[in-house]
Amino acid sequence: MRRALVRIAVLLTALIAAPAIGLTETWTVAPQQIAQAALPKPEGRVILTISGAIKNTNDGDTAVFDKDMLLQFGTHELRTTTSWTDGVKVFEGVRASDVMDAVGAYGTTITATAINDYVVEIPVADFEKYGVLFAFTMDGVELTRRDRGPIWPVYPRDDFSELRNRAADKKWIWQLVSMEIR
Amino acid sequence: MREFRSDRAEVRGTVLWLATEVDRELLRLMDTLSRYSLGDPEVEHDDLMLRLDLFWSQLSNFRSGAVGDRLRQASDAGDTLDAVLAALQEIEPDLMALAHGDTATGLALRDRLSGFSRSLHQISQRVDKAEQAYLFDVSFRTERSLWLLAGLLACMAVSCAVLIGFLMVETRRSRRMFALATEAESQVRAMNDTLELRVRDRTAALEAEIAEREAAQTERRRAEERFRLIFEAANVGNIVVDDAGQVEAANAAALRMFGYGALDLVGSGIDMLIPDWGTERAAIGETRGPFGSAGHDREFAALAGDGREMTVRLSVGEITQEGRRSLILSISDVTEQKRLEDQLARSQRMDAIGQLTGGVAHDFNNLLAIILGNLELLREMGDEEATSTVLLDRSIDAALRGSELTRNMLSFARRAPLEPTEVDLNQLVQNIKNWISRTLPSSIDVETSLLAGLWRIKVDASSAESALINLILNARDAMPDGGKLTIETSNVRVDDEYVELRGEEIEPSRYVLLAVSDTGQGIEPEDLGKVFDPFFTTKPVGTGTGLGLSMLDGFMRQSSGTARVYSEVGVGTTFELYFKALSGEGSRTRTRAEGAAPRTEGQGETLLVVEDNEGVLEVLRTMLLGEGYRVLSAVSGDHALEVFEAEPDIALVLTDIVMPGQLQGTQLAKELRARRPDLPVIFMSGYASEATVHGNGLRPEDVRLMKPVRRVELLAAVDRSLKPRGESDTKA
Repeated sequence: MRRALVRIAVLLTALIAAPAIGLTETWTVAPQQIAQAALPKPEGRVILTISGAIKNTNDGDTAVFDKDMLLQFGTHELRTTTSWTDGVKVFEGVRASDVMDAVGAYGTTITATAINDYVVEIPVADFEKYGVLFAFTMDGVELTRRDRGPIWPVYPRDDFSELRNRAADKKWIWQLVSMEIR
Repeated sequence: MREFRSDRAEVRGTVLWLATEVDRELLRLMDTLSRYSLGDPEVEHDDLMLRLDLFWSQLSNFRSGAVGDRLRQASDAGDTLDAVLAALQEIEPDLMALAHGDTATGLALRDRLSGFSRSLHQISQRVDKAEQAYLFDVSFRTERSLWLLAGLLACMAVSCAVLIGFLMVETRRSRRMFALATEAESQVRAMNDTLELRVRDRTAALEAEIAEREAAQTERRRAEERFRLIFEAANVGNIVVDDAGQVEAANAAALRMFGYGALDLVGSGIDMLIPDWGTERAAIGETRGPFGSAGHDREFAALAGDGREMTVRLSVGEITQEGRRSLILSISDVTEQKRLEDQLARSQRMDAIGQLTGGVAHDFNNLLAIILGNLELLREMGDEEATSTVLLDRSIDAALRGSELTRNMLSFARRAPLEPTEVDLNQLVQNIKNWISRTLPSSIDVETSLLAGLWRIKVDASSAESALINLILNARDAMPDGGKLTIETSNVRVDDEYVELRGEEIEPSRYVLLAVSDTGQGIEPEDLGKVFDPFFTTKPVGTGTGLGLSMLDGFMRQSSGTARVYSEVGVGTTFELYFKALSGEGSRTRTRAEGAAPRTEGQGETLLVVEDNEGVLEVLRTMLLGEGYRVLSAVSGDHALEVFEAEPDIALVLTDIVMPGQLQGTQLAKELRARRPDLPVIFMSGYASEATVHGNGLRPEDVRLMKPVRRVELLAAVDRSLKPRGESDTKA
């Protein structure tokens, strides 16, 4: 009985340890190799800076993007109402999760900062869960600084009831310029 | 229910936050605008635009969406916002065009914006109040209906009590929320106050900084102005040129000196003024400029604006400012000084020539004395052959002419005093004309108009000759292309009326006029008054001394006459010499001393002849021996003194003035006269001036003879010197 218990414990340990070791090996080598190739230097004006818990950088400890670099991730559409606009709007932009993947973000919380120094904390999980869009246009019109551009994170508010409140609205950090991931 | 309420509270917070945010964003915009227009180097145009965009985006929150509706409803400020937006659109182009540091425009725009500050602040306050009221209203209504429903289901009896209880609870709750809201509002207000205070402080600090900067600028301008004034006021001409030799600045003295206006000079090359600038520079090397190290004085030929040639002295300083090299030239006009220096050098040269000529003439005189004396002795020997007498006479005549030449040379060397004699001016003119015509080019036609019966004058003939020669040569030079030269003599009576008429400084008297006219280029009126000035000449350097006419003028004054000049440019010039006529008309020129007074022969008197030149000594000895004198000779003053001591019987001493040894002629005479005060002495010299020095022991009655001494003159002088004694002897 005791012997059986020991055997089970060893088996369990091996089961837990093996993938853990394997994972460590995989994660310590592969992303860094990808990083060198995946993040080119920006050629245009930098509109977004990501720092903190990221694996891929292109400017010291940070990853910086111009608009063209972001557009490389492919654009998507999102239709929703907002607390600041009338009626359903069509937003177009890149997926926030694609950006997170590109920088190899491995934290859980994002401290996002806007041009006007507005700061809000956003869970990294939000991006994947709601398919948050970094919108560049609204109804086909480019978002400028005067109308919450150049990057406005947009949540599919109409599809999730938990997004229709002030706490959620706070995360629509318009004029987004930088994110620090922890 | 809870969820709903908390959502409401959140919305309320959002609305209030946005309302205050627009208020604050305006203050930030104003702050940025102030700093930008006051020239804060940290604030750039992009910063200003960012602030404007952010304010704009805050305003747009009022325009749409649930939040916008709520904001408008709460603030009741749709009109105000529209006004703000309209105004913002209006001033937007001005903001976009605003230049950094354009204080006036920037602050005017800021003041315009600050007009909205109050209304936006009121809006945020109104939103605050409205939100409180709304929340209270919503909560109240919702809770009451719930309890009414419960009361209907339960019992009407307890409803009042429960209602009262509920109301008490709810009132407390509302109060708490009210307190919360008030706290939030006061926080917002505090934030605004802080921000405003910061804006004020920052503005004040910047204004102080700007005032300080302006004061510094004013001080710098004053210093610059001061240096400019110093530069301008300097009496030395100052010109600043760049590396390429282009004039950057010139002060008043420089402009005056060269006769240019500032506009003509600045921007022109310095070689316009100093043509040699470039070559000098190239010769000495590109890198160091023409002066090596700065500060050297050099003379340059320069050209004035009117083409006048100048000589300037340059002192050059180097300035290097922001890596750019300039030179500052301090310029003095030394044209006049240079001219005077040249004249001084020329007159010194003249003096040297004079001395040289004097020396040559002196030695030559001694040679002539020997030749002439020996010739005369030969003639006295009374060779009967007529032919040889004629030959001797010709030789004597030639020697005499040679003697005349040396006299002229000595006169030129200004070592001869004027020796006025009665002169026939017509004869003098005729003589000169005869030989000088050969030196004039054939293109010049010489004409003489000589008045017969010309009054006689008494002047130094050789000076008169040189004066005439001088005038003829001047006339020749005035007519390089030929013309007519007229020499005229006439009698002129100058009376008081004539003097007044002509306004001339001439004594009323009778004058003989000698006029020399040419048909040359004439003399400029401004130069006419200067022709008699020493060193004035219009001839190129090296061809004229500028002394001729001034010597002439001096000679005429010494001879109680005067010189006048009349000239007309392009027509010609006339020089007039007025010689005072001798009183007693028809007085005749006495020929030289040949026709001398009757002379007594020597009666064995002992004469001491002192002469260092043995040839001359021998001639003198022979002449005197031949006349029956006893002759002792000595070759120096010291020797003569010895002879005199040994032979106290000496009746007369003839001595050269310049001799080797301690005792010169005049000192010898002093020594001898110290022993015998009444001893007659005859002085002989090649230099007349030597014999006329005052205080040298000569007495008025002493005879002075110019060498070469002619036999007759010598014998006459000896006779005259011995006579007083002879007479007294006779009487005794």
